Order: sequence, then structure tokens, then C-alpha cells
Amino acid sequence: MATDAPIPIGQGEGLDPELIDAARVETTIERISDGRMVVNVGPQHPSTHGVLRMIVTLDGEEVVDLDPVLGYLHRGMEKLAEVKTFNQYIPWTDRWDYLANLQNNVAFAMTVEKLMGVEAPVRARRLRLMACELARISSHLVFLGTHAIDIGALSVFFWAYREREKLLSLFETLCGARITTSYTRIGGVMRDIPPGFEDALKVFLKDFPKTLDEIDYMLTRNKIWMDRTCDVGVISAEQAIDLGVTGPILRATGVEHDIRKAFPYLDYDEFDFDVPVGSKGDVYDRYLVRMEEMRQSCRLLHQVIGKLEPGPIDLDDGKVVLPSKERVLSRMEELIHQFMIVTEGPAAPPGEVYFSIEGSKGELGLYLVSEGLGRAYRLRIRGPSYVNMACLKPMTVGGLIADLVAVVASLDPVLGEVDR
Amino acid sequence: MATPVDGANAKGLSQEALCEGVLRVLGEVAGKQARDSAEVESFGEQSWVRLPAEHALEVFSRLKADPELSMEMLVDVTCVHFPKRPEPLGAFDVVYHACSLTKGHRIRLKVACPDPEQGVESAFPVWGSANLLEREAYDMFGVSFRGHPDLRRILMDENFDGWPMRKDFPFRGH
Repeated sequence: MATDAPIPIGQGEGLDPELIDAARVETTIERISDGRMVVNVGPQHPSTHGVLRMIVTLDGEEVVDLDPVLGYLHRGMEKLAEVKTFNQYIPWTDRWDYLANLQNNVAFAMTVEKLMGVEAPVRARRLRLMACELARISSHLVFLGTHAIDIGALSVFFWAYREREKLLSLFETLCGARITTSYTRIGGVMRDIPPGFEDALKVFLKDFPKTLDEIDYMLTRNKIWMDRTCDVGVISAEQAIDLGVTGPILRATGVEHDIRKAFPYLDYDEFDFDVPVGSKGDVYDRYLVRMEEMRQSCRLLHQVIGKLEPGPIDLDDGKVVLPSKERVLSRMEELIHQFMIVTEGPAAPPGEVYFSIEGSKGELGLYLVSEGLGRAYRLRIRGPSYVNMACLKPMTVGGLIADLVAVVASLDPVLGEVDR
Repeated sequence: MATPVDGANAKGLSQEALCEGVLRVLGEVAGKQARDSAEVESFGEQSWVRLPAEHALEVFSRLKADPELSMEMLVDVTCVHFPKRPEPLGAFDVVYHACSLTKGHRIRLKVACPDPEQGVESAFPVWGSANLLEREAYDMFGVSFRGHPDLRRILMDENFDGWPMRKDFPFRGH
């Protein structure tokens, strides 16, 4: 309820009175004439999965209008790409979708390679595929845990995060960081897998399906879970396609569209995996699709371990990849290459490419325009979470405010990618 | 090794056939002269068509309905700023990426926009996804989309002054 008492925020000097008013509105509920209420949800709320803010108009408990307010995490990622060389930009890619960092690294490196007309060697491609699938599992586990906790199933949160912790430890042995992975380089990957990594991954792949089965047993036929999710937040296939929705949300409506199948990259067409689809497009279907996607990712990981043949992990081209120190110190050409890559960035020809991967949230597309320098002239990041925000309103209007929480969780938005 | 090009169409039409299809649709909409003067550009294995601004919306709706092309989904809308590019193309390109889920192909389309205030026509009547995408393009570049139902800032604050993604916007110190 609105209070008339002054709120003691912003009483220091130099703060704009308008801003203080705005802050006050953000913490209150406003009643409008015909008995409806305007409620502000977020930007700081555990069930908004980040800094998502929604202005919801309610008639009793029913949602009659919803307007997402975005941009609280806008850091100018696209603008930054215009001043950083390609390799300098890779750490920034970690911060797009910060729950699936490895796949962002891969998407960016592959887009630049496409612009340059080069292709990473086979082993690097296998490692990248492995990284992408690990990132997908890790991202879906966060979805599962937070989705369950939003609806009130607390144990699932701990189980999912326990498994994710194992994955983060794997990432740490892979590239030295749990979250800010920066694993790829233009033309290859940062480093090969360390000794013992394959075995650790196999142990994970052996244990993880058991936890997944437990969670499945806990939720999938659970009466409370089904009551909260079935027929909630429904969207039709036609509507989803019209709104540009991709990823598990689109597949939950029954459309079998997966970038890995439609526009294959990283030799995905050499691997066996299925694309799960739903039938109704409700919250429950989105949950089921993501559960099955994790199983399919495990299937892919089993295959990729078998196909990891020894070989170079980056291109043998001094104009793309930093040459080894030994060669830099003994040969003039390599010394020049190192100097150019570090100062100017690996030179790309003038041109433009669009390249997209199937991220854990949907189509992560990058449109890169180059002027012939070692950095982008324009980098467009088509974050799937941003486009998927479009279906928030059609999914929630007409439903209850309690279902809004379930719907937001089922969209699985990552605000780093929405606001960029 | 017989690996296909990364990100190429697994099925569906080739890039050349797609461009040819877009030109055919443009010819149906605007006549032979517009078709002959439209530019097809390419880089690597990707090609794209530059559409005349006045016919773009009509071409979009035909592309969506065309049984052979069937571009059901608008994947992305964005702008690129070329401050010094001379007329008739002018300072801005509006870039569209459309995709056909049933056929399995995608195409890039461009519309030049010399005057950002006058802008280009919104693709919203054809594809609903244009709503958020064009709002972002407007927010970042100040390019207006005529006929957009709700054209206001989305990522930046409502009271923000300036267009952050334009080339003349400073990287620091604003």
C-alpha cells in the first residue's frame, strides 16, 4: 500500500527529486479508478531471475496487462565490441548469458572464424561441442532448480545445484574458471583438456542421470507440480513463431526447430541426438522438453568422448592464433604476427556474416560487420532471452498472479542476455 | 573431409536460389525495373538482397506467404551506422534476418535509411517479433519505424538523451 510518510531514501545532496519519486513508485502498489491495481514486480525479486521488472495490472488476482521493463543490466556489449580486438572481446562474451558462458565463447569465436574464412581443427571442434553441451546442462540445471523453488519444491533446488557444482568444478579443471570461462580463442580453444578430465566427465555422466531420474520421480507425476504447471502460460505454435520465440519454449509448442539440425555447425550432423518437442506449449511442456534435452546432451557427451582424437587444438596460422613463445623468440615473422595480434587483433577481411548456434535458451545469433580491422565494425548480439520476452505478455494475461511466477521461471530468462 | 559449411542450410533452398526468390517477389510487387535495379550482394557463402524502402513491407508479407520461400519467422532486426556513406544509401542500413522453419533456410534483407527521423516502415504488421526488435533498434540508433505500435525506449532510460550505438556517440565520458 502507498504510504504518505516520506521515505528516507535519497535525502542526500545532488539527487534528483524526480528520481526519488520514481523510486517510491517502484516500492508501492497503486490503485487505479476502476478497482484494478498496478503492481510493480522487481527489479529485485527472487522470482524474477535477475533484474527483470514487470509492471502488472491486476483485476483481483487476474493479470489484465503486463509490461516488462528491461535494461537494468544494459552494459553496452555491442558497443564494446567496436573498441576491443576479437580476442580481447572473448571475456565479455562470458557476460551475455552468464549461466551458459561456454556456448557464448564458442558462438563468438566461430562467427569471427567464419568472417575470416578459417575453420578450427577437428579436436578443437570436438572440444567446443563438448563445451556447448556441458553449458546446456549447466544452464538447464539452474532453470530446474529455480523453477522448482519458485513453485515451492525446495529439495530439487539443492539437488540441481549440487549437480551444477560438479559441472562448475569440471569447467574449472577445463579452463581455470567456474563462471568466467573464456575458453575459446579465435582459431581454436585456450587449452587442451587436462589429464583426468575425461574420467571426471565419465563419472559425472554416470551419476548425473540418476539425479535427473530422482528429480523426474519427484516432479513429473507430482500432483502439486502438475496442478501448478499444466495448462498454465499456454502459447500456440503459430503465436510463438510469429513472436520469433526459439529454443525450448518454441519446441514445447510442438515445433521441431533446432539450429543444430536445421543449420548444423560443429559437425552436429555427425552425432545422434533427438530433438524433444511438447504438444501444448504450457509450463509443464517446457519443463519436460528441458529435462529431455539434458538427457540428449548426455548422449552427445558420451559420443564426443569417443570421438576425441589426438590432434592440434588451434590453427597453425600465425595471422589468426598467437604463435608459441619459442617461435616468437626465434623467428622474425612470428614476432611480427604476435605484435600484430596483440596490438591490432587478428585481421579479418571487410565483409559481414550472420552465424547462430542453438544456445540453451534458443537461437543465439551474431551478426558481425567488419571493415577489415582486428575488431568489429558492428556486432549485433541476438540474445534469445530478449526475443523470448515477447511471449511473457500473451502467456500471462488472463491468468493468475501466482502463475506469473511459474511462467517467468519457465521462460528461463537470463537478464545478462536480455539487456546485454 | 566432407563437412558442410558451418551454419549453412541443411535442407531448403541455397543462398542463390533464395536471393532469386526474393527478386522474383520484388518483381511481382514493384515491377521489372525495381527487380533489375535491386542489388544482390554476397560475402563468402552468404548472400543478401537490398530492397527499395517503399516496397519493403509488401515484399515481407509476400515472402511470408510465398509457398516456396515461406519466411514465417523474423529472427532479427538491427541497424548499422555508416556516418559518411553518401546518398542515395545514406547513413543507416536496417538489416533483417528472416527464417523459414518449415523449409529450413534463412535470408538476410537490407533496407537503406538515409534519414533516421523519417525512418523505414515497421515490419510489425507482418511479423510480431518486430515489436521488441525494432524497439531496440530505435533505442540504440534513433531510427524510426513508421507504423510501430509502441515505439519507445526499451534498454535505455526513458529520459536518456542520445543514441548510444551511433558511431558519433562517445565510448566514454557521456
